[in-house]
Amino acid sequence: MTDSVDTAGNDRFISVCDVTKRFGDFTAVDGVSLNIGKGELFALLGSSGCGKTTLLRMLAGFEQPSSGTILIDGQDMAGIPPYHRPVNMMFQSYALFPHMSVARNIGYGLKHERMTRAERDDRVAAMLELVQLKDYARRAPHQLSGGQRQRVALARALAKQPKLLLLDEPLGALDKKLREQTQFELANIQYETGITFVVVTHDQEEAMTLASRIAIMDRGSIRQTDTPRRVYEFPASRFVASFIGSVNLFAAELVRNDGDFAEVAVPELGTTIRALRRGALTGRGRLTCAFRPEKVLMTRAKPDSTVNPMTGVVLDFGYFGKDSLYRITLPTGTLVRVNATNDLRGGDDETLATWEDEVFLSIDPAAIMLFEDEA
Amino acid sequence: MKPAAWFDRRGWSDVIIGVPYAWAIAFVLVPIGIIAALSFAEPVMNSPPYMFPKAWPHLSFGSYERLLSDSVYVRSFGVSLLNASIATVLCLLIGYPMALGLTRVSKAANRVLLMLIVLPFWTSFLLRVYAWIGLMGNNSWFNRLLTGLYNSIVPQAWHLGSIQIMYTNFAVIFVVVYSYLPFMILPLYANLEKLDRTLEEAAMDLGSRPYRVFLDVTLPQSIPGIIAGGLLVFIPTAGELVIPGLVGNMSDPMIGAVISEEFGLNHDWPMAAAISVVLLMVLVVPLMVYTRYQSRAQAGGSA
Repeated sequence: MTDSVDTAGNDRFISVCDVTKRFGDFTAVDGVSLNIGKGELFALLGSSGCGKTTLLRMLAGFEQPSSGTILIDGQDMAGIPPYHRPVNMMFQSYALFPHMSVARNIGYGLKHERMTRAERDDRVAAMLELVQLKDYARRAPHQLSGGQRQRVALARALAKQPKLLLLDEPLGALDKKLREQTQFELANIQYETGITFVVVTHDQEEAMTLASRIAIMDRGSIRQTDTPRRVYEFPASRFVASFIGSVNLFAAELVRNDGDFAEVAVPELGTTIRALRRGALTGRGRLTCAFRPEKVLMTRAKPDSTVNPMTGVVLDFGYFGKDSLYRITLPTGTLVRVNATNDLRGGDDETLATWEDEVFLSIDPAAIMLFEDEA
Repeated sequence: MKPAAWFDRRGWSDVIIGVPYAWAIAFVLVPIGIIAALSFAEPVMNSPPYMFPKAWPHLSFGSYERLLSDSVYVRSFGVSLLNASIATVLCLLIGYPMALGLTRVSKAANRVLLMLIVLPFWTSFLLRVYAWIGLMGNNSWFNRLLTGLYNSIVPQAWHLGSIQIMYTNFAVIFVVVYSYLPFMILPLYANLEKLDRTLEEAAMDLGSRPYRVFLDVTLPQSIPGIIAGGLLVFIPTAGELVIPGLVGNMSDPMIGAVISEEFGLNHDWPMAAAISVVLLMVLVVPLMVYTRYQSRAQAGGSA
């Protein structure tokens, strides 16, 4: 695990140590270890049923681990019920109390704090200010829009100034336009309050834009924990590479392995591929050669010199405006996905490749990813 | 959902909606109107045993005057409303934990427990009351058991040969609670089962212990269920005739028995009708207030 985030020497603020959770025969979380720094915005990313929500619920105290320990700010959370934890949660459904006004919802958790009434009112007012809902204090939750409800839920969870805020799919119920705006708002609020956020999401875009670090979960285990950029550019395994973004994956065989470079034979591409080597190759296990569609350079004219050259014919393409996705048929019959940015305005038939065009591909050796799978 | 085409055609929808309305008018409104009219007649020794005054406005208020001035009637109303109130509160205190429990158990257990609650309906109501008469009687094994327990606790001087349960107000309330408990549990359960459990988790997450979660979140949201169950117990209990007739103290009757006596024994139809009208008012007015409050709350809810 590469921890490139500066966590001010407090990078074990939340420490999950070998935590397993079983429900009967089913193991929802399987030996997860994780350290989250103070003030970090951390995302747990995975498809449904990967155990991310169970892990979140164990942090909140709604579930107890079958084994392993969870420390928050050095305090062991074993046996501590949710109402005694310095942790608050923003629920996916928001879970606003329908019979209370916005202000009473936000102030609910403060009833249990040793505060005077005036202090409580001040805190509620400050929270309303923070989420820009000053004029909505007296409204009932059902009188608010989805985005406003989301902000009330956030304010309510932040009101107690927890050490850790858990957010369960915080943007899941919002429409696309609102998501984008709220994403940045959420990150801003995290920055302003300095509270440690742990976000659970199945949406990689949400995780990438929000989080300073992402843990990718699959079938109860964490596959990789890293910054969004490193998770995308340097995935640790074939699974992570294909889970995040899109990728071309081909079975490969090691031909040469010397110095900084490795050479692998890729039968499906009908050529050998030169790759910048990262980490040792053991030669055991199934070797996979992978590269992302946007890392392929595609030209219609034959370039003067190329690295990892290939030729192919455009089978079809999708035009998305800012870029286009091409599917190129190689002489071997293999399909390669190539992403080309439409950076020239107009982009008439002269410059854009179209059906049946012959195109030339090349890939930088640094962009080639090699995975040796355990299985 | 859009109604089927045939439903819209040639006034079919009017006919189908009209049938229940016609039923309600013919068998609810008209009888109530007849009773209300009867209450303004005078009793006579004739057939039919009532007559409207010859002089304008052809209405007699004699029955109502007697009803308000004679303490027997007022007292019967009091006994009825008190018994119904006590029974309703007891049903709520016993039924609420049961209804809440039903929402917290596994699916399999839920099915079995619901079955157990509904099961008594499969035997005749009268039979079940008679079973209690058998148990409560002074010479029953149940009564002897209770008496033995009582005698073993209290000093010698207070010992009893048997505990008088039958023909007391206690017996009435006891059997009423037993009989009407499902009517409290079922609407409450329907209400509690719909509640969003994540709200309880949210309250707990914000620092509330389980009992505060109950008071702050569960209880306020179950008020519609409490009121529905309460009405289903209170209204029939207030007019209950059979249970007090079988196990109650006949010298201190509930209002149902008084109505029955006026109609049957005394042939005073106007008096019986007047009592019925007053009982209806006592029961229906709070119901109307509640419905109005609820529809207003719902209108607020959809705004």
